[in-house]
Amino acid sequence: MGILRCVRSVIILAGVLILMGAVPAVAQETSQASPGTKYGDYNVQQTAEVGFRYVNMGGNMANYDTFENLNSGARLLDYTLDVTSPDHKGKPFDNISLYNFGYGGDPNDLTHLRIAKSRIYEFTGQFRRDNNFFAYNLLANPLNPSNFSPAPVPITFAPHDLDLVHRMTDLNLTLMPQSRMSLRLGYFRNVSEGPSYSSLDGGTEPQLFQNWKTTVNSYRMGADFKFLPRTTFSYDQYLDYSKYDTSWVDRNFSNYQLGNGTLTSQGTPVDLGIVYTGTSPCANSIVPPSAPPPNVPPVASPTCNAFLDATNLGASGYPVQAPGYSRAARPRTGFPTELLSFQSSYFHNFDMAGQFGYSSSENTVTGLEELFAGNVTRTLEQAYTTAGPGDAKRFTVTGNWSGTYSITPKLSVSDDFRYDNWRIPGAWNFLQTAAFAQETPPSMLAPPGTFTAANCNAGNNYAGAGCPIHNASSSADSAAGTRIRFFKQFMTGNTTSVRYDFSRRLGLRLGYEYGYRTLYDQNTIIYTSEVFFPGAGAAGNGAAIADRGDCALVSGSLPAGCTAQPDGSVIFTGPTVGSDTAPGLMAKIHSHSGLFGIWALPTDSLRLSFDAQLFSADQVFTRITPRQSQHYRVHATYVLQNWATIDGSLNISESRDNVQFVNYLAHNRSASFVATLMPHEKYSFDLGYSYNNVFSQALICYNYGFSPTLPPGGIGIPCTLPSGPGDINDTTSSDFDRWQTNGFYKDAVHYPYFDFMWKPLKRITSSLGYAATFARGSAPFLNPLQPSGTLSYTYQKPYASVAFDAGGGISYKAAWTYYGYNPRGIQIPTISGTSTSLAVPAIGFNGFLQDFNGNTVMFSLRYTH
Amino acid sequence: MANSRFSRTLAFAAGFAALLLVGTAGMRAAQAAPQKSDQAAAGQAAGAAAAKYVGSDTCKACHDAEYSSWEKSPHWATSGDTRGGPSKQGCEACHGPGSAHVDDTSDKTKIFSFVGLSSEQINSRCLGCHAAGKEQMNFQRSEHAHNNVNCIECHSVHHAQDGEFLLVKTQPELCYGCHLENKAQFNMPVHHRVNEGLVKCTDCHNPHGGFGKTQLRSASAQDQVCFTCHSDKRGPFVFEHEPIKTEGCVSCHTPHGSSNAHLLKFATVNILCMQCHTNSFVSFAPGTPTFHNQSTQFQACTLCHTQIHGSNFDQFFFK
Repeated sequence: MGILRCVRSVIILAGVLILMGAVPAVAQETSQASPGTKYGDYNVQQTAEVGFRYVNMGGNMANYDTFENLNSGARLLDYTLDVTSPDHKGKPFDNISLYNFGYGGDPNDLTHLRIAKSRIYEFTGQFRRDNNFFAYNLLANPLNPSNFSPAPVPITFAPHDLDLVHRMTDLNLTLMPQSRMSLRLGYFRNVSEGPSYSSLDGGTEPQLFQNWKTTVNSYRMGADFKFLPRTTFSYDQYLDYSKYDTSWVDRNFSNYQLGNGTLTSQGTPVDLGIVYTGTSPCANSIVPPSAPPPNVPPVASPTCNAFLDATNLGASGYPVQAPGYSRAARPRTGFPTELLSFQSSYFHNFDMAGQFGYSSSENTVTGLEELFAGNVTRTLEQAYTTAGPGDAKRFTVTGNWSGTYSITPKLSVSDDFRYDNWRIPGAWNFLQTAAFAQETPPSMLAPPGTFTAANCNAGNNYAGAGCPIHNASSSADSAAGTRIRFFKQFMTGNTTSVRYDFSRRLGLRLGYEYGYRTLYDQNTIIYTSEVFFPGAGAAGNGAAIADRGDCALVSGSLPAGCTAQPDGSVIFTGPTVGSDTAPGLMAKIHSHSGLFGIWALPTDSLRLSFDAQLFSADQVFTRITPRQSQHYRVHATYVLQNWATIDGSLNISESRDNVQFVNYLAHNRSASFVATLMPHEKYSFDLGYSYNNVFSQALICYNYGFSPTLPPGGIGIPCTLPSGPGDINDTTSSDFDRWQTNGFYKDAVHYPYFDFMWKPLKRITSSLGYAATFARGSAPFLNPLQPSGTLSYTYQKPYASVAFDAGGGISYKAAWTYYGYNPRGIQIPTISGTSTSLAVPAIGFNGFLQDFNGNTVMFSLRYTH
Repeated sequence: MANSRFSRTLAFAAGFAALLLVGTAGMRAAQAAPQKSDQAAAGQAAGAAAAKYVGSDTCKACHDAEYSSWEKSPHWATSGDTRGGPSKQGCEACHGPGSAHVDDTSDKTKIFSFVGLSSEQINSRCLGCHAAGKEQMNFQRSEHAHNNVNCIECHSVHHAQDGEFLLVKTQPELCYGCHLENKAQFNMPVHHRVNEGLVKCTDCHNPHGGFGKTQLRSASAQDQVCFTCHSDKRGPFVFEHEPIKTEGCVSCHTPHGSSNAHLLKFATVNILCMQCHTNSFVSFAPGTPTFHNQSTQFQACTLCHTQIHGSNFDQFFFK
């Protein structure tokens, strides 16, 4: 198939070339140097390139669109406009420069405009549009279980796919740029919107339609003051105002319908989510679409974990509430920031710069409405609502100073001091209500129970008709309170370095860097009130089951703050810190780094540089924050001839936090080489190769199957890491089901490329090139059925183009690119639940090939005037 | 492992020694046999010292092509710099007073030429005017300056391909010239749209240096530059995912390009998360709860923890 496509493209290409050859050779001049057209005081030069792209791609188009998203159609490939005043006598401006590309359907469009009038103003404006399409179905895809009975609902899409459009506008105006005082004004707007999908944790995990909409308006104002010699003071004010209007609503992709006890449809759509096995969320109570009789919608048991997208009244009279889940809120964030900066070379041989900033942002969240209707069998919950305003602030103070003192022309000392202090206090005042089933197992055929003193009392053991039932996992029937979060970091650091240039051919730099930071993190929940209704259904003991959650009995008594009510309920009143208060965390980290650098120009044609940083810290904040790291960089450039340059670089980064229980090791090593040869104006040749090796590992513990022996498919040994403070090697508790393995990721990427340009005739320019990424990665699969993600693949992009200058400012171009993406060499899941070796074409989730292969051909016309 | 480390250390030591040797050889060569460029550099200062300013029109008489390119460039604006006087105007703002050169055009040392100068000298000449700007205020302490990169390796006053910033090549090819590995990264299946022209290297990095690491810029509120475009991750949230603010987005993402979706560092989400979220005494991240059974569906952590960058309503980032 790929060869056929290739042949077809070559034929098209050849046809275009023949056509181009037939263009009358009447034009006498090439189009390379158009003098432009004079209009009054201005000279105008324009180029425009329009074309048509033909895409003939096969395979997984979702992957192609995720990676490339270049599709067929007419395009404005390039447009440039330069209006200049050659003698600078044009009054409104000296020059206008405009360029843009991508319009007509490409995922990336850009327009850039610059207008300047010397000493009076300079204006730049830029608009960018980015279509961010993502439908890669190996990410966030749930396990494809092997124990389906009956057959699974295929997840043929990426659960978190998105099709967002970013539009970014950036306008900047500088007034009197060369005066002692110049003003800067700016406006930046960033809008991101479009359909996307998310998911939710619940009794089952439904897919949510995420109607994405975020807007940022940023205003800037600043001034530069140059009243002292060789010194500039700048003051800037920023105001970023962000609006987040994204909303979420249940997306019932499977279109199951609520069944009665005999799995007869009641006509009400229910969403079983995107994750279920033969036993969860329903215990073998699903009639799949393929079941007889034909054309009958799939039916789910009313006792399933599900989201009830009721759009009509079922036979049971269940109240209409559509959809089964929705969430919306209106966060609004303002970021006012002030920045004072300066640069000065006022003192002889001493250059310094500094910056002081203060920012106080506030995120105000109003309008939260979260609604759920359905079934959570674990907690017996059938409906809940959540509301309440939130507020988070961020106060930031930054200060930086750096200076260089040139003691002699060869010797200089630099110092760089950094200060960064921020804190984020946040609070959410919540109000939650929950409704619980009136029977167990909970059935969606009956509405949630309602607690009334008349129906639910001690006389009937709180089990009267319509009374809600609860279990120990049930939340409060209503709760109000405040969640408080406080997060803070204080950071300071200083870098001192000495540079000595032995000559213009050799220089050395030695330095030392010190860093210190503290972190503080606290998470507190304060319930001002919680109400726990009794009611345990057929199991009785309704009064006792009101003693749950924060009011669970302690040594047979209600804890402080909990009061039993005459109607059998238990009320918790605060404000008292609740049971899930997390202690504040404090980390103090001191770090030290040694810096070393050397550069050399042994000859005029050879240049070498090497620098290194050796870092060590006494504490870390996360397990993968390096406690020690080394970074080495080597770069060499050799100019063989004026027309031949060889360039090579080596970049090595090693990181470790290899203490007990962590054993974190990571590296990122790359080596690159490129040769650029331009022996003649008629041809040039670029050849390059880059190798990048990424590795990361840390000991991890995970759960697999809740079994004292490792079930088939699991990997690892019994966990020897602590499951909590002081709980090392505890094999007597529930830790028996924790398994330890080395969580690693390796990826070795080879990137060869070449680009050959040839001008066989004065009017013809051709190019031929090839670029490819060969990635070979590996990672442990905690579950053999786990989607692998992008581990090993080959991605090749050969290309060729021919441009013909027809003269008179017109040129034609035909360009061909082949895209070949082929995963390989990895273990991946299949729908049958067995792993497939990678000698065969990779099969992604639900049997979908991840490969795509095909050609794009672009025919374009360029006009220069 | 120990052997491998030893070998690595040895290799580094050998490489370093080789560099030193080459460097020392270069120094000796420089001391023993000054090359033409050195001689030219040495003579320039003396030659130009006694000269006077003659104005750009004088230069135009012989250097018409250079004058023409200069006249079309932003540097033309220097001709109106009455405050700085002739030393800040026109051709002589960069090349110094030209009278001696006019008197004896055969001796190129009588005018300041950038050919053969050290990077320090070239940078000083440019920074004489350009240091006074927020973009270049830290150039002397930048990574580029530390590695002896000078202004005219990226900029060309007379032969620029980019008219606005006088770059010798357009981005990103200019940056790829030295940062070779980044070309490979931006050609990976998932990448920021740099090759496509939507994003420039200079959108995130300031090549002239700054107060941040790796010459990164800051967002307007002095936080990570990523938030300039990815504003929805910026917060402040009631519930912050702490490492994003303290360790940075690069804790989980590879910003230039990646094999993995969403520029993630790992192909499998659960391993990425559990590298931090495994209980141990040395970490402040909570361990993975025991009910996260990997034999069932709890593998892509972000399937449930969807608001992983921060949440206003849920400390576990569910919503």
